[in-house]
Formats: sequence, structure tokens, C-alpha cells
Amino acid sequence: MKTSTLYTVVGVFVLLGLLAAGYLTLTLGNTTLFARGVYTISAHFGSVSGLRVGSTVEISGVPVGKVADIQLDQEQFYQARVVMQIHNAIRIPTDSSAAIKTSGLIGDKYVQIIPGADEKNLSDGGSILDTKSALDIEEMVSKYVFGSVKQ
Amino acid sequence: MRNLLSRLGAGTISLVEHLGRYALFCLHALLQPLRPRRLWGKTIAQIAFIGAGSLGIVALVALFTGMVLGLQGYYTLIKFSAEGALGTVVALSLVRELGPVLTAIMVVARAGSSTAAELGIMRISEQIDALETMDIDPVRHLVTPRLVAALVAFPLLTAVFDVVGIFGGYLAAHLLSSRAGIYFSKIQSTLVLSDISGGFIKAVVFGFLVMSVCCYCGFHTHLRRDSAGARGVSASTTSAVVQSCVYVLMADYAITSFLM
Amino acid sequence: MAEPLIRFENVRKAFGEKVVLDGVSLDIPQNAITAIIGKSGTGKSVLVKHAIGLLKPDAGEIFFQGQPYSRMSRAQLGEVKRRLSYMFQNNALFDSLSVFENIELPLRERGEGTPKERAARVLEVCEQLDIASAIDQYPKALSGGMQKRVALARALVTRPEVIFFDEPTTGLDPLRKNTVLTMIAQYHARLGFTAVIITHDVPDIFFVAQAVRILDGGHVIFAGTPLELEAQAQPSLRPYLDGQGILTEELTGLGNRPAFIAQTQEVQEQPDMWLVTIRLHGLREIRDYRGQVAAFSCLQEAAHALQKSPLGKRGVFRVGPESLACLTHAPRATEEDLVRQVALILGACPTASTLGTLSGRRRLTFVAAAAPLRADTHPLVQIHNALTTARGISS
Repeated sequence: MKTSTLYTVVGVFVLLGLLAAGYLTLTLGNTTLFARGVYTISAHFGSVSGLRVGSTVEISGVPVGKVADIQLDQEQFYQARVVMQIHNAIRIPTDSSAAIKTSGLIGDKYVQIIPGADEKNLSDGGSILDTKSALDIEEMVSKYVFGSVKQ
Repeated sequence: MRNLLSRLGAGTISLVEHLGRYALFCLHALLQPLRPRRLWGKTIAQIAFIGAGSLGIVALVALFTGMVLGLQGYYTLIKFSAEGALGTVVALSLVRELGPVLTAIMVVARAGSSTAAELGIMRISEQIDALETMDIDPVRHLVTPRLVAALVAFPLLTAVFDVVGIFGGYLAAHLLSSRAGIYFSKIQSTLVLSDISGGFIKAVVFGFLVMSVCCYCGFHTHLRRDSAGARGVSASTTSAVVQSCVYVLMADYAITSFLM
Repeated sequence: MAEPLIRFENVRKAFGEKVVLDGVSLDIPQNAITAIIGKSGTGKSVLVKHAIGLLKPDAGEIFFQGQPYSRMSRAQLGEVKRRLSYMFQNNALFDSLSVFENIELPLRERGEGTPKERAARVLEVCEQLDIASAIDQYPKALSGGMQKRVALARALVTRPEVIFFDEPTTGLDPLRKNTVLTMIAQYHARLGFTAVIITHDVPDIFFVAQAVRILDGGHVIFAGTPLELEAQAQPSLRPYLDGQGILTEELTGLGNRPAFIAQTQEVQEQPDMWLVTIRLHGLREIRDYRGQVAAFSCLQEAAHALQKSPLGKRGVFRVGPESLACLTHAPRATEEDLVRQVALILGACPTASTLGTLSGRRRLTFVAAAAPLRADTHPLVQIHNALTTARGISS
């Protein structure tokens, strides 16, 4: 093979490979290379069981961001601290509430934010105080079976 | 009894000998890029051979693997009415396991075997000795470009495999159900960076394993005790292919259990 | 005596149970052509592979210009290797590279010169070896002789100080065999490298070699000059001299040196025997300008002319690359008479004189000498003396 042809072939191959890798990491892997387009807020939950880094954050079913980090906060009664990245264009009032929901019966967990009515919006690093934890289906089922849930 | 013990001893000594020679061989080859003079052109040629040359077969295998995964996943998941998770199933199994492993095995079959045979023939026709007498380091001249090319080509091929496979899965889902729309958004919401980076780490490790084992087997054809000449080359090629496949699967387990 | 270029001291090498070299001590003199002779499988190649550092001895030591290999660093060994070239018995050409790339490879990998300079050097060597037409072909597409010459070109292109030739003439037809040997001798004369030739083509090698080492059973059983070897009466050495049974050169129909010695010993007691020696001056130029075949036809013509004349009645012998000798019974002859007789015979050779004129500035000239055959001096020594005192005669 001639050297120039060889270089072209390798160039095409590397370009294709990099495109694939880029598509994989940036689009499918949902990675933000530049954090400029987002701001972070946090919230404490009693239980985040089933939620994981990368899960979506939704308002009225529309994705507005994703979970960036989950930690156990020992200072705050061993609650789970969830850090979320929200797109810059989305404004969230300070009195909004957050809940962990499940899509379908055994589907993925996600964070649902129900916006409040305050005129002030959460800034970068702000936190949502009103939270509702993940529903523990096992617990619910056992409560139902053993009759502690009133019909 | 004595005989059995001595055979065990001889086997162990030969194994340690091989491992030592293999380690020195790899070390020698990997130290060469520190002095990159006149390695560039050969490495490019090897990337073209190992990478670009394998692109077609890797894409083809990836497409059908993805489609089969989509098909099988769909029939399994529909029993739990969880067919919405199909994208997740396909993407995770491709990115974490099947992408790197199947890519490695396809490259072993295509480039690894031919590398072992080529080096084996060069060895038995004294071409490697000829290099040595010209004060051309045969490891640097023949092995280093292949090893570096494999380290570059494997992750790229794996990325192509993953993407094509995911589209293959989508294709199968699309043919089976009208609910294919959430396929990609499901992948987006479940696939995280550590899955992808883990897959790439595997690809790099496999690339190194496959190429070093294939080069080692071919390069040392003259040391085979079981066969010589043309049969020696064929034995080298066979053991190169078998060993690199086995090592890839073993390393796969190790990486999955320790890193991912 | 000067330090030999390469010296072996008690070198021992065994492959498994099989001892190949059993305490070999020998030296390879600088700037000479050394022939290492031995039957097949006596470890000649193994010996030489030690000399170039491809194999390490089990015991003993090898010195390069007085430096032991075992105490050299990798860099020093590399330095030594750069001064050596090795021509493999089976050529060891890179079969996936073209002829040009094969010859260029050692230059390119050592980073010598620009691509243009390298190409010029490769082309020069290819022209000299008459393989320029095959430069874009792959080795497998060439004939055996061509491959041999490509291998030789690859060995020569780096302008090494020492070249090892592993069986350079094995499997070649007589013409090619002579070409290769003459080529080695010619390059040696022009470039002054040290050459080591491994061979079992015994009679041929004596035309070019200045030192001979015979290897048998893992030992060196003879070391000396070809003259000394031919003078040896040891029965164990006889097979290496004429055991091949080739007493007449296949091409020219001339007797060779052993035949000459045998013939001389037969007649040297007789009275009035003269030894006439002729050197064909300019044969080398003809070879260079007109090619090997032309040179051979000159030699052949001269030989036939002599054979038909009364001078050649007892046979005409080729005693050197361009020297002939014959024995004649000539009572009452003088040296003048015999030289004039030679001039008459050779002057009538049309091809030789035409080619001589065509071959460039120099014409083919004959230098002849005649001397009474003596019984007390070795025949080859007499030839040597005669050739140094020979006078020119016009063709």
C-alpha cells in the first residue's frame, strides 16, 4: 500500500473509532464534558434505595438534569445527600419539593421535583428542603398483607 | 511416583521459564517507544492492519450480536412486562462485557493468527536472525509496532463494536415492538461513565494480552520442542490463538470482579 | 604477528546432547579471505554464528580485535555488529519486502543518509551485481542465483569491514559459482574487507582464499594457507584437496591446482622440463565491462589455443583466477623462445584481442614466463615466483 493511502486509511479508522467512543460517552453515557451548562443543587432524603448516579431528574415528567453524586451525610441524621445537576435554563423556586419515584412497578428510580411558588429561585449549590423518600415496595406489600394499611 | 514428581517439577520449571521470557519480552518491547525513531511508520502500518482491517468484520459481528441480544432480551423481558428496559440490557451487556471480549476474539482470529504465523515464518527462515546480525533489534522492529498498534486499535474497535451493537439491538427492538422509542433514553438514563471507562480499560488490557501473546508465540517458534519447520509455525499459530482467547476470558473475569 | 581480527579460544557448544564445537581454537586474520572448510554438519555455520554474536558459547571465549564478546556491553556489541555482515546460507531475505527494500533495510534502520542517498547506494550495488532489473520484484520470484546476489548486495551495502559468507556457492551452476567467488575476490581487492567463506566447494575456493581452516569433528584439524594445505601430505587432509573428484574445471576444460601438482610431481624428475606460466592481464576489466561470459570465453579461447599447441600437450592448468600454467618438454629451449611461442599462440586468438580492445582503455595483454622445472621447490611456489618475474608480451 502506498504511504499516503495507508495514512488515509488509518485516519479514517481513528476518526470512526473516536466518533463511536464520543457518541458512547457523551450521548449514551450522558456525560457532560463541560459543566458550564448546568448548576448543582442538593437535597437530603431518608432513603435513596434504588437511585444511582446518572439517574434523571424530572419536572412534570420532563428531564431537567441528572443525579451527579449520592453520599451518606453523617452530620444530618444519617440521611442520604443527593447532588443533582440541573440545566441552566431551568429555574427552580426555593420552596420546591423533591421526591424519589419509580417509573413503572419495577422500573428505574428517578428524582421528581415539584416546583413551589416562591419568587426566588435556587442558585448554584442551593438545596431543596422538602423531600419525600423512595417508596419501599417490599414494605408496602408487607404492610398490605399484614393489614396495617387501612383500606 | 518419582517419575510423576519429576514430571511435575520439569513442567513447573518450564512454565516459570516461559513466564520469565514472556515478561522480559513484553518489557523489552514496551520500553522501545521511549526512543521512537523510525517506529512511527511501522506502527501506522500495523494500525491499518490490526485496526482498519478489522473494522468490517468487527462491525458485522457487532450488528448481529446486538440484534440477537435485542431479540433474546425482548423475549425474556416481556415475561415481566419490562420490555422497556431492553435498551439497558443490550447496552450494559455490550459495553461492559461483549464489546471488549468479542472484539478481542475477532482480532485474535484475524490479526493475531496472521501475526503469529508471519513471525513464525520469519523465524524459521532466519529472517529474524538476519535482523539480529544487522544490529537491528528484531523485537523493536517487529513486535513494538504491533503492540502499540494493538493498544491504539483495540479501544477504538471496541467503541465501534459497542455503538454498532447498540444500533443492532435497536433494530431488533424496532422490528418486534412499537415501543422502541424509549430504547435510547433508557440507555441514556442507565449507562454511566464507569461502565464505559471499564469497557475501555478491558479493551486496552485485551489488546496488550492478545498482541503480546501472539507475537511471543510466533517469535519463539524455534524454541518449540514438539515440532519444527512448517509444522512448528502451525503449532505456534494454534497456541497463539488458543492462549490469547483463554487469557482474554480470564482477564475479563479478573477485571470485572476487581474494577467494575 | 598482528592480532587476528577474530580469535576463538577453546570454544565449546552443544545443542542438548549433541556436541557441535568441542574446544575450537582458531583465528581469522584481518583483511584476508579466510575459507572455513568442513563436511556438511560439522558445525561451520555454528562456528560463524558465534563469531557474529548470534550464539553464545557454552565454554571458551571469542575475541574481536582482542576484546572478549562476553565482557562487551550491549552497545559495544552493537558497534561490533555494525562492522560485520553475514550472508546466510539460505539467503534469509525478507520475503514480504521487495528486492530494493531488502537491500535498503539495513541502511534505513541504521538511519544512514537521506532516502535519496540510500537509494543511490542501493542502485549502485545492484548495478554492480547485475540485479538492477529485479529491483521491484519480490525475492520469491527470483531464481536461486539472483536471490544469492540480492543477499550479497544486502551484505555489501553497509560497507562492512568483515563479511561472513555461509556457503555462498552451494547450489549454484559452475558459471554462477565462479561469478560469486570472483565477485568476492574482486570486492575484497577493491574494498579491502575481511572475508570469511564457509564452503565445501574445495577446489574453487583456493583461487580466492588466502587462509584456510578445516573443521572436523568439532576440532580445527588444519590452519594455514592454501599453499601449505596443498603441500600437506597428511592422508586425513587429502579428501579436502581432491576428494571431490573434480580434477578438471567444468567450464574451461582446464586442470585445476591439485591436478597441476599431481602432474608436476609425475614429471619433475625428468630432464628439460619447463614450466610456462601465463597471466591474462585485463581479464578483470573485461569482466567488469563486458560481463562474466565474455571473460570466460576469453579464458576458454586462450586455453584451447594452448591445448592444441605443442606447449599444452601435458595439459593446461588454471592455477589462479587469471593465471594459466603448462608443463612442456623442451630440450635446448631458452626462456625467450618459449615466451615468444606463447605470444604467437595467444596472438592468434581473435575474440580475446577484440574483447580486449573493446573493454575500455586497457587492452587484454598476456604476461608469460618460462622457467626450468625444479624438483626441489614446491610447484605452487615455482608458479608464484614465475608470475612475479613474468614479462609482458603483446597480444
